[in-house]
Amino acid sequence: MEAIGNIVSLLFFPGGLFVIFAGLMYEWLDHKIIARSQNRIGPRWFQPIADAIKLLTKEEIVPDGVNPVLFAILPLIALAGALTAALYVPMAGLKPAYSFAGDLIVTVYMLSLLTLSIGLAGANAKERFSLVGSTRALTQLFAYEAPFLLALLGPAIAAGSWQISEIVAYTETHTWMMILQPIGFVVALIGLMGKLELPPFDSPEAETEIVAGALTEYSGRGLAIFHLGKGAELIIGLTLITAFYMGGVSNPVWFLVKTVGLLAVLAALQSLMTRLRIDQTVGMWWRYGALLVLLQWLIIVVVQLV
Amino acid sequence: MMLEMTQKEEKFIIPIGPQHPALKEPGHFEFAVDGELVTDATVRLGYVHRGIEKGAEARNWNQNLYLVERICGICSHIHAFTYARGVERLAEVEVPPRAQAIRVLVAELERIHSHMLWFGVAAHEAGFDTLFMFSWRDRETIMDILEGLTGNRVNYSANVLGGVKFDVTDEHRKTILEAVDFMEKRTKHYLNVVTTDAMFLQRTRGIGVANLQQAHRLGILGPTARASGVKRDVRVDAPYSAYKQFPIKMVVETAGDLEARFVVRLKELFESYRLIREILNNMPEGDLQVKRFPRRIKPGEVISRVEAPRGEVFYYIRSNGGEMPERLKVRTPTMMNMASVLAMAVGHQLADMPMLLVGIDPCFSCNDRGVAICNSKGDHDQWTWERLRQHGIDFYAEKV
Amino acid sequence: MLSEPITPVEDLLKQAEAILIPWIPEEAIQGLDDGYPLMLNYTDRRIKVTGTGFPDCLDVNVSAEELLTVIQTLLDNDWGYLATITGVDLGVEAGEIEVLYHFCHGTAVVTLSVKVPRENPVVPSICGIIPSASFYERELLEMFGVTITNTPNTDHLFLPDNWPDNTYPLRKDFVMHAN
Repeated sequence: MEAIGNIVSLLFFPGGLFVIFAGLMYEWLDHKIIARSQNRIGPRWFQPIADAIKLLTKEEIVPDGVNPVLFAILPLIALAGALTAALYVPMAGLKPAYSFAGDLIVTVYMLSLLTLSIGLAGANAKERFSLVGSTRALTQLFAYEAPFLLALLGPAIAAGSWQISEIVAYTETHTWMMILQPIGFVVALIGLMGKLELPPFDSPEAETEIVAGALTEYSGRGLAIFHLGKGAELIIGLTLITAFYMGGVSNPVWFLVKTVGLLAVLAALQSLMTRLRIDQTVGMWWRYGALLVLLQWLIIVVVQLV
Repeated sequence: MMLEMTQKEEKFIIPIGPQHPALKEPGHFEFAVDGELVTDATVRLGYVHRGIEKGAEARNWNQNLYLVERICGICSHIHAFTYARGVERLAEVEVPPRAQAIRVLVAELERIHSHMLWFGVAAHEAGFDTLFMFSWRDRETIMDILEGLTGNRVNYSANVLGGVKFDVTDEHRKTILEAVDFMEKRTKHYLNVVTTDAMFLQRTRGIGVANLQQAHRLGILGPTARASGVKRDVRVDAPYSAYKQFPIKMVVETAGDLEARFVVRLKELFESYRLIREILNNMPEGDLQVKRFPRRIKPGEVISRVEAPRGEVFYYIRSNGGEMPERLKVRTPTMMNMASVLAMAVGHQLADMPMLLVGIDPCFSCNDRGVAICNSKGDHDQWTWERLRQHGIDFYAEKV
Repeated sequence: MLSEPITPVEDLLKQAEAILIPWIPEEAIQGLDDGYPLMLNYTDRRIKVTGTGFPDCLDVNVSAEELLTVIQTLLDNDWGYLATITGVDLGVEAGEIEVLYHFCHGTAVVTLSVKVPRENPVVPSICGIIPSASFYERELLEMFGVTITNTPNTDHLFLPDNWPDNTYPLRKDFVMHAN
């Protein structure tokens, strides 16, 4: 019986197909909101699904000079990382499928696997755009990762636990963390944008400079899987931030309302901003992001002591 | 010097073009980079070389008017204007004042749509797509006006030798004035955005600086030069056509960076709006064309210079007394400005390259002008489109 | 900002003449009133007349050897900027190629004309004085086959890399074989 439960949670819900499908829907919503704010009509609801199906059915071209095993396996690692992370978060407002003390750290690093895989995929190729893209992707990873993690740890310290389910239980019964820890919330939100390489942090895939960045050489299946991984990361990131900072996600309706609200904020930020150069991104994170989050920590510690 | 030498030996080259998302037209740039820093830049042009200068020698004076109009898709009117003005001077034909006013009117409308197009592209290169979408939406009002006036969105064919083809009616006047009011409001907004948006300024302020001396040395032209403090605008320096009756003020900035290039172009638009209103309110009466324009033009040479949206367009026309020109030389502003990009590129970040390139508002078609297809065997001849198509089909059939 | 008053074209051309006087043949200057009418009376040079009836161009014939000195003199006196370099093939019979250096200053245009033999056309590079002329010289080289001594770059600019040697499309004897 437990085996069936495990398989279901891995393949259908909350991991597997549910995350992939929901990721595509959230991606559509993101595109649609940006399009509307740019005075465009935007795609229809099934566009991301159609794109994914189209890419999955297309021939995958393995370029000369790459390690073919690595080339094929990196997208899978990226997606697997994202789907594994989905098992530890309160997806759709339900209890996480698995839980243990310290699973927050595991989840955050599972999410980083995607960026790491993209970086490696770019470095694996001989293409110059890929190389520059992968350098930028990894540089950016080092820039946002620490502040993002520290920002997520803020509520964890408040709750006195590094287990996601316990933190959520704590945030559900207390005032919204975004009011108590506004700095941490802002850093976490912007960190999520950096993680997902959304504008203004899209220099790793700036099409006007380096075409498609690290994934320039990817086509067909590999590209589709990376794409699905990104969608999964989007929804997991949104879930984590809503669960931690926006009063938890006690049921599916609240989950939907809160995550969509957060996504709208993300989309608005994207359509308002100019792409930052990679040096500006790194500068911004270490100069402001890291300091701000440390300040937040200081405040938390002081408040708890008092 | 030694440092440069060693870098050259192991340089990592990022190619931009001929086909690249940053370029709306084909051109090939190679940037040698050290990490993200650009250490060297070269350019290769000619991907849209159509042999127009040669072609002009085999067409009569009238046909050439339509040929030169196809040099560029954005500033098509300017080329026809420059050519017609040169040929009219050579033939000693006086163009009626109303026709001259209409020519300038279309030229200024074209400047607006060209600058708005550039503005959108530049915003896109900076990764600011919202601004890109909005500016192109607003540009449509001008495109609609041009379509209403001339029947075409591009290649308006407004000119004939000795005048213009169409008249500006009261109805046109009303719609144009309304559109200009709208555009003025929008341009004010955009000027505010490019000078105050902190994120955008990070990508433009202090980037790609060409000071006055450099601008002179590199021979930069047009708005790009005026952003560096070079007081050079043919409309002011050597007023031609209706610019004599409707003078224009030169817009000059001194910073010489990308921000200044944005500001100069946007401020120029206000001058264009003012001029358009002035022309429409004081339109001279009279004929649209001269009664007769000679088929043959007496021997001689003429230089015709006109300020295009991107800078000075220079035509040298020589007639040998026949029905066709002996020589037609076209020098477009992009040619000079392109060279400046290569000089400015060194020392900047790779991420700044698209912005720098776009900052001069390059027009590759203008630049290349010049269909002769050449194969590797060394014999050259002109291929028809059909033959080229067939060649492509055969080539791939063999490959499989 | 307000634009400065325009210098009349006559003054500009007078300045140019004063600068270029060493290269204007003596017989052209003799028997003339001082100053401006010089150009109008000088028949050897081509004076272009605009539709409104005033000349705005001054053409001076210069030999290839003197070219650099003349351009240097113009620049030293801060007169104008190089607009472009035009090549004109005068035809097989004439046996010459004319290279025109156009300098613009306000309304006025000074054109320095260098005639070189068609068989062996050689002009010196002016990139030492005006670095931005490199593109024009490359164009002149590939379109007319004019050898430019000391030019920094002789690569093709517009024509394809595999364009046949010694084929110069803007020469009059170049024939396009249309199908």
